[in-house]
Amino acid sequence: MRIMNFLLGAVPVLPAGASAAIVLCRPAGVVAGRWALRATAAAFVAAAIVAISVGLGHPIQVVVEAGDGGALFGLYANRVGAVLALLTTGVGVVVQSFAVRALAGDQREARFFALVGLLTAATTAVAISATAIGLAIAWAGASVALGLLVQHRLGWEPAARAARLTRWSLLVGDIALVVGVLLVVGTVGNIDFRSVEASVGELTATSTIISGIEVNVLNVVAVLLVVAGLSRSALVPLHRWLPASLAAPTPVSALLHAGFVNGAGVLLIRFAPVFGSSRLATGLALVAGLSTAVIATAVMLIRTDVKGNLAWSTAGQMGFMVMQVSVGALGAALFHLIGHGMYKAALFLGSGNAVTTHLHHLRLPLARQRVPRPIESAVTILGPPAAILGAYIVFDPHLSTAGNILVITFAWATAARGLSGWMRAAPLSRTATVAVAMLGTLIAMFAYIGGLSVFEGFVNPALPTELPGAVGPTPLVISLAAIALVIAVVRFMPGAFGSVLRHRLYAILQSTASPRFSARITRVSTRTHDQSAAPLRAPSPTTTSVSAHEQGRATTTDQTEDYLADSRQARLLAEVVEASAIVAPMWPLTSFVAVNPLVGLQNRPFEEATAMARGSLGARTHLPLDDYRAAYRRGEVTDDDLRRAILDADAMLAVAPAIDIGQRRVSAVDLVRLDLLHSPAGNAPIASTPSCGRSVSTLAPEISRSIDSLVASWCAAYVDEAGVPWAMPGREHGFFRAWQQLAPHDRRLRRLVGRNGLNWLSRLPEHAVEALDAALDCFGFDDKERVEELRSQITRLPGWSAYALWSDAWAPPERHGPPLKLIDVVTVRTAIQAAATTWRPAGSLVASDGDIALHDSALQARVNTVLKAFDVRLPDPTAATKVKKVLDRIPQPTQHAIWLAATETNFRDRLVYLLTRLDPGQETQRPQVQAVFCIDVRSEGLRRHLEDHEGYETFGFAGFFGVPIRWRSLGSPISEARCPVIVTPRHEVSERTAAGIDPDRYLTTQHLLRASHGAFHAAKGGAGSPFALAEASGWVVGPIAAMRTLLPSLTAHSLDRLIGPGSRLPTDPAVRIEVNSESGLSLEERTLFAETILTTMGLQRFAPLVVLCGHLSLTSNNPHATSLDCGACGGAPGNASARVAATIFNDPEVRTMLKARGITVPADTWFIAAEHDTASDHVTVLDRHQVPATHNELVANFERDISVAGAQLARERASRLPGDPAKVQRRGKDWAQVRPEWGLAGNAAFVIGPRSVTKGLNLAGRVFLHSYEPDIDQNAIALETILTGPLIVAQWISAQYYFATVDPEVFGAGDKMLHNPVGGIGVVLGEGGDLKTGLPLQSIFMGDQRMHDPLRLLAVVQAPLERIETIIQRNQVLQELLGGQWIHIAARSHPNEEWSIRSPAGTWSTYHPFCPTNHKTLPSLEVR
Amino acid sequence: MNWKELTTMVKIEVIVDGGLVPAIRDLFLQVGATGYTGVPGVSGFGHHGYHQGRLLFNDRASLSMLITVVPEDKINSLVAGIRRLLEDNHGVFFLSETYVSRPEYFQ
Repeated sequence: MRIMNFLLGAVPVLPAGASAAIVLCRPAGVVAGRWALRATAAAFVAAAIVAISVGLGHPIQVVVEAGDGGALFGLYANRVGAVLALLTTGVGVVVQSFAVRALAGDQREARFFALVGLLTAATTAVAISATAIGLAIAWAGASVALGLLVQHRLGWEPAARAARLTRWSLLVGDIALVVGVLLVVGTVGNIDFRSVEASVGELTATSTIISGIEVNVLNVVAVLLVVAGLSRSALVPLHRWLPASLAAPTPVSALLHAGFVNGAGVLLIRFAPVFGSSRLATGLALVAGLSTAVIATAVMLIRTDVKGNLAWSTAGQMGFMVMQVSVGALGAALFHLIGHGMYKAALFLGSGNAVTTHLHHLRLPLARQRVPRPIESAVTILGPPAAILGAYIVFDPHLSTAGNILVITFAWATAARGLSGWMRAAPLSRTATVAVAMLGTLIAMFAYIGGLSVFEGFVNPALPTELPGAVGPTPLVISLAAIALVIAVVRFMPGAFGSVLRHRLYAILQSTASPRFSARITRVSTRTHDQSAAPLRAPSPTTTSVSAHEQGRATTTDQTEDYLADSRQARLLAEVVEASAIVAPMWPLTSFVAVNPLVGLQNRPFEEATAMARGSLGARTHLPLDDYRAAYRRGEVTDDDLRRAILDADAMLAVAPAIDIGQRRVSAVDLVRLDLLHSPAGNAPIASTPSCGRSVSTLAPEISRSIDSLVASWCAAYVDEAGVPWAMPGREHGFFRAWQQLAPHDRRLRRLVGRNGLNWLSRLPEHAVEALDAALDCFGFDDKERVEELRSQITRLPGWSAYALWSDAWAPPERHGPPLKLIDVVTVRTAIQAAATTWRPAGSLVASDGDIALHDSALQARVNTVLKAFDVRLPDPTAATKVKKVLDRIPQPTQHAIWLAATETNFRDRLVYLLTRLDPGQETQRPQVQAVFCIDVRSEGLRRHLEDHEGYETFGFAGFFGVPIRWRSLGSPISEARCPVIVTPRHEVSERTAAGIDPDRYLTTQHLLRASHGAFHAAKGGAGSPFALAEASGWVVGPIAAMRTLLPSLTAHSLDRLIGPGSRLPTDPAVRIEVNSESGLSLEERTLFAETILTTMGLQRFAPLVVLCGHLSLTSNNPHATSLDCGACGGAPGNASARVAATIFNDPEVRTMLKARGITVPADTWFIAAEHDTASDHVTVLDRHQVPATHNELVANFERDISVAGAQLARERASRLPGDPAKVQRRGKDWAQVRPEWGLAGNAAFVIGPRSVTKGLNLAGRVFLHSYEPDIDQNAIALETILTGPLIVAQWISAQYYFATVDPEVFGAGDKMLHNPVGGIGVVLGEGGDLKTGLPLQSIFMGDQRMHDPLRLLAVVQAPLERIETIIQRNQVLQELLGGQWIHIAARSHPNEEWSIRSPAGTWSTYHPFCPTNHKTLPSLEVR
Repeated sequence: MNWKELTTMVKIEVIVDGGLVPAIRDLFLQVGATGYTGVPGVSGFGHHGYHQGRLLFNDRASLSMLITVVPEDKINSLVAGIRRLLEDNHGVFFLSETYVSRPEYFQ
């Protein structure tokens, strides 16, 4: 027993000790993580041994006793405590193991692990403390740890706000518990949990006087315990902190929802004899539990964001658990607590899978034969009770009557919903669907009730046999029946009343669900409308414009037409288009592609566009000066680079007179250079406060933020591609109309605009443009101001606006769900702005002070710094004036522009120097294998290593292989574009099984997957079904989550074999059989495609084996997974395109046609498709079964060689990735890994020319490589295709990386650990807010270290200059990109000629790359 | 049938960058046009020199022509919207009288 006592003590002490060690020793984050994880793992092992020992024998205790034999403090583990300790330490191990990888590089990693250790220790101690005082101390410790953990993200306002809310809410509970415990101690002494029943009698018999009223102490203590529980478990009315805590990183949420939040259950069960003896307390608990279960579950049903859904679900589940406790079903409550804890931990850790899961679900086949409705209803209603009855007869769980009612009711609800979801998916024949449904229900109910019975049998000896004060069955049944009735009324009430009821309820729930914001502003300058600088026109129902619109609306209600008859409104529509240029379209994450965030401004020069972005978005558009200077110190920028860039920026400086400073004469160029090197970096930030439209600037920032938050929450509610159980009413009418119908019931809106404002909003015209016109009319803007105002409205919510812009201009016509239109978003926000500006009570308006120009003082500081660099101590007014005059020519933005240009010049020098070699020419010997890869920079290394093997020749081509198709995979009801987004797919190609293979087995698997998915989600999305589902499925998904975390590769492999792509049958694209006039590829078209591919990349001779290798990135738990796929395939895997292209090339008819056009493909040449997984660098040959026997050996050789090349590339990549280099190829399978690969980070150039230009060079994965043979492209079609297609896609990628690097806040998607997938299309951070665009922080940064050099793309072309110039002149897009310096270009006509560069004005000049190192060592392109 | 029995309508042809096509399309529909015809990849010569026609791998960078026919009462708002769009973008539009045999198709 001594060992057991030691082990029991070790359970909380080990994690607490690790925390203390981290605090005292301050190790690096990765070391801290290792310490905390090992300590918690040891604690888990100890807890497991203790649990086994307790299960087999008696409780274990480590107690310091007082003189009377009672416990002073210590630990006591009976079966309940042992089980709870297992849960808390087990979840702790999984979460910390996850966090070790997920938080790698996080600035506060060590702090995180110190606090998690403390939280784990405290939560465990609450479960096994031997005394009430010990429990209270541990309880408070857990509160402190959680409050600090929620504020993990430094400098992020939502996290600070959430932490404040969490601390205050928990403090209420902490105080209640402390007071309760003190009351107990004052009455009966410290409660000893080994004999808690002994204290009950004395507490019952004692009374105290509160406010002159005599109150029974037991009741007071019990009620205080309930209050403490409400606070800890986020029950109404202390529930708000739980959704707010989503501002913490994902592992914190997992730990919190799996362990900490169960506080009410643990507390009330541990104090059950006290709590259960007070009818007042149990009644209060029932009411609180029931209310929370109803409200939180209702909110959960409308939340479109994954984490918000989970958080509200947890609140509801806690309500259910407290209900169980209140009716005395303690064993069932414990079962729920543990099951739900594991369930939620798994779902939180895997929340990043939401987008991929949604995408996979869309691809699953639709229902087969629907089961007739009467049979479906009969099975749904009668099947579950039959199964439950059977299970009860067999297992006979020992529950109270009320407990049985709860179990039976909610098990029935879950099973019924699940059955319904299953049968609607109809995966099999009708009979089989019903039979499997019945069998599944029977198994599920037996497993659930059997598991519950076994668990109860285990814990019951440690629980009180009877709670005299527990709520009886009658009030429970009445309560449940009343709730069921209300749900039925809301759900099924017909007519207008029912509609209004549902609208009102939805709006109320939406108000409840959204983050709180403060609309009451303090300390603002009070101004009335008369004093306002903005000439507001009070919008009253009697104003002309609104009256006119009302008439219009009355008319349009009666008519079917609903169009703009007003020229002014048509202009307004155009003005919204103009204003929208400030944001770029954002593709949904299901097909995420890179886009230049300033693509709308690309018709302006780069520096002008970036100035606009700084002004309108408040964005940084260049690196801070210090970063550029660091590059200078590393030798990545030289003095010569700076001089050249200075003269490019201001050529007049070359002839400016030199200045005498001290004893030296300095040229103007060198003066500027010194200024660039030494000027103060911090006194004039390059990002400025966003300029505001006049209406925005008249509101206090808090009000504007509140409006942003409000509109963002409605956008999130509207955009629901994934399908929530209760969708926003009226979505089919568009966002503005749907919002307008709900707005009158929105309490948050009422707080913002008051009742009058609400009335005005509800009377706006139904047509969004008319409503926008009316809203803008309030401000009396002129035309120019209107555009400014619209731009300002758009930049308040750039993310949602960007998605709406995609919806307007880029979305495919067959997309799912009603579109979010930009005009609607702008109208909603402007209308609220107008109402808030006009109708808010006096005292809420405040003028914005705006920025104060610091130009003069900043300039003087720069002058002083330069003088100081020359050691000029005494005042020298003449020199100072001259220096000032020179430096005044280079304002601060220009300083950054010069640094950028100098950095780019240096890179160009290094790259072009590498390329300036004698062209080795093409190999004359026929290669054995030719491999065509995507131009993607990640292919560069693979090609380089493959070419190390004998007999290989490689090519680069856009990854869609020139075949713009929509692809329908086998059994999928949807087809997806597989080409660049700037190309419209013209053909649909379907997949079919290979000859002789019956697709039925595969399709049945897919149907079963869909049905299982349907059953699970139906049960998850019901009003009463999630409770039993969570507690039952947690026992399955919890261990799987643990396996995925602890053994990621093995688990991923097993799951893949079971349900993933690994279970696929061999298939091939059905190009030949799908040909028809509607959508297929005719022979002529196929031949044209083949000819285009071959001529564009200059493939003229053919090896026996030609491999077309597409690429994808297999990553797990990654909302941005598609951003790592092939951009040339529209953010999708490149396998389909490669397969289709290979099929075309192998088609004898196509070869015959090609021959007629002068291209002879030898008979012994066979094309195969392959795919390169860039996360693992594994290359898989596709459709292996189609390879003819004659080519098997060649293919096998290729598989062997490419495997070696992949491993070499992976080793190369490993040096730049954190973690174990040996596991680099397994990172993609690890769901805790936030950096599965670096993607296209580092990309900087695009080389167009024969492979001989780059062959043998290590380009460090920084260069897009497109093959091109100028000699066979006399009419310039191929080059024009490359310059206007792949180059544009590459420039978008390059610009996205550029801007996400220079300002990850504005142009990036933020921290992955805060990502909350929403609507199946994007992510928000934490609890909600604006949609995040761009790339996640972890795609570009490792802690503080940048992994990407932000440079504008450099195009390097080997082709006649005249040809290039002709193409530029006839394509506006190229003129804009080159003339505006969005990209640079260097070219040479022939390997023997010198390089030339093109100025923005369009003149070409000879260019000699300056080698920055000695000529013996080739310069490196590695990002440092 | 005498052609004078046909109904007079207004035809508008707009030639713009491919990127502006969705905005023009939306404007057509918002002002009540019941349909339109799109011709992608049109080439020609203008103020900015020669414009290339259809590009193989880029449907957005070349010029497109959109044609619609509307009754006279809708033309003012349509023209106002298009003129405003073309204030900041390249493009031209032509407006002409046209005749249709089934006016209900366009109303």
